[in-house]
Amino acid sequence: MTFELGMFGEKAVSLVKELHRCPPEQLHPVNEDLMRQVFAEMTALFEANKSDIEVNDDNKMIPSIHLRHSALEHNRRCVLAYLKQRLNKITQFRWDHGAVLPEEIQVNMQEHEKQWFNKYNKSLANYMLSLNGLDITQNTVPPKSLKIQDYGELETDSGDIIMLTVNSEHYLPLSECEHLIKQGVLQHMGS
Amino acid sequence: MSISSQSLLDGIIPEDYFSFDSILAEQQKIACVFKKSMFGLGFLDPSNQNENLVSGSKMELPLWMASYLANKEFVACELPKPYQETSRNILLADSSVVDLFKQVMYFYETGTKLIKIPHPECPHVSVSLVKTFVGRFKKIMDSSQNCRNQDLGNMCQKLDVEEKRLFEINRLSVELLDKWERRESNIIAPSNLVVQSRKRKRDQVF
Repeated sequence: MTFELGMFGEKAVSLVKELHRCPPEQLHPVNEDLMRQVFAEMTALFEANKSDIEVNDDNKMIPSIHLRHSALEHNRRCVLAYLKQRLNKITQFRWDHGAVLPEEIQVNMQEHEKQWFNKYNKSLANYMLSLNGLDITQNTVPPKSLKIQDYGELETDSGDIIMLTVNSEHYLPLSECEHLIKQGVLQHMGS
Repeated sequence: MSISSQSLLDGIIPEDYFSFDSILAEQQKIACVFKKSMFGLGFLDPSNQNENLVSGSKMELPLWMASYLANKEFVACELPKPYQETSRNILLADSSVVDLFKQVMYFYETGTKLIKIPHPECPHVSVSLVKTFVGRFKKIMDSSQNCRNQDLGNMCQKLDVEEKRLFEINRLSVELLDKWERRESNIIAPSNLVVQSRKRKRDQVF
C-alpha cells in the first residue's frame, strides 16, 4: 500500500476549501476527481489499518493505527461537510429562485441532489398545504398596500393574462408578483 | 430541516461537525513530539529518511490529528506561537492593535479547540481568549456602527474571521435601521443571490 507524499487529509480539506471559496450565488459541479482521490486515500488508510491489525499481535502498531484512524475520520468529516454544504446552498436557492431552478444551476447538480431538491419541494408544499395552503415563501415583508406597480418581460398570470412588456407598469396583487420580484423579473416601484 | 436533523444527531456528533469554519480552523499546524514510535509512517515527515517516526522526534501535525493523538497520549503538543506566553502578554497589554488575522485566521475557533488538548498552559490560554475578545469587541462595535464614511480597510484586515463576520452583521444592521427610518424597508427587492448571478451572466455576454 503506497501513499503520496504529504499529510493525510489534505485533499479532503482542499475539497472543503474549494466550496468555501465558491460565491454564494453559484453552484459548481461536484469535483468528482478530487472526491475519488479522497476515497482512494480512505480505502488505502483502511486497508493499511486492517492489515496491521491482522498481522501484528503485539501492541507496537497501535499508535500508527490510531493516527490513520484519525485521518480516516477527518476525511469522512470533510466529505460529509462538503455534501451537506451543497445541500444547504440548494435549500437557499429554493427560497430565492422558487420551485424551478435556473438551467445554469441545474446542470451542476447531481442526480441525487435533484432528487433531494424534489423531495424538499414536496415536503415544503405538504407543509404549506397543512397550513390551509398558506404560502410561507410570501409576505416576508409586511405589505403596506396590496397593489404594486412593476415592469418586466412577457409573463402570463393565473386567471387573467397580462402582457408584461419591458418598461410597462402594472398594478398587480402582491400575491401574484412577490415571487417575480424576488426572481428579479419585476421591479417594485414603491408606493 | 436543520432542526429535526440536529436533534436526531444530538450527542452523537459534535455540533460543528459540518461546519467549514471549524474544519478550516483545525488545519492549524501544531508542533508535536512523538511519545510513541509510529511504525511504517516515516514518509509523513519529508525531512525524515527513516521508515518509522521514532519516539522523541518532532513534527508539525494538523490540529485535528494532534488533538486526537494527544488525548491518547501518543504525542505531546506545543502551543503555537500566537497562543504562547509572550503573545498572550502582548494581547493583555493592548489587544486592539494586534493583527490576529495574520497570526491565525480563525484565532478564537482554533483557540477553543486548542484548549481541549492536555497542556499545562491551557487555562491561561482560555482566559486570554476571553480577555482578548472583550478587549477588541468594543472597538469593533464602535467602528462598524459609527464610521460609515471612513476607510476601515486597515482596521478590518486585523480582525480574525469571526470578528469580521461580527463587523459585517453590525454594519448591515445599521444600514437596515437606516433604511427603515427612510421608509425604504417596505420595497421588496430581488434576492441577493439572483442579482449576483445576473451580474455574472451579463459579464459573460460582453
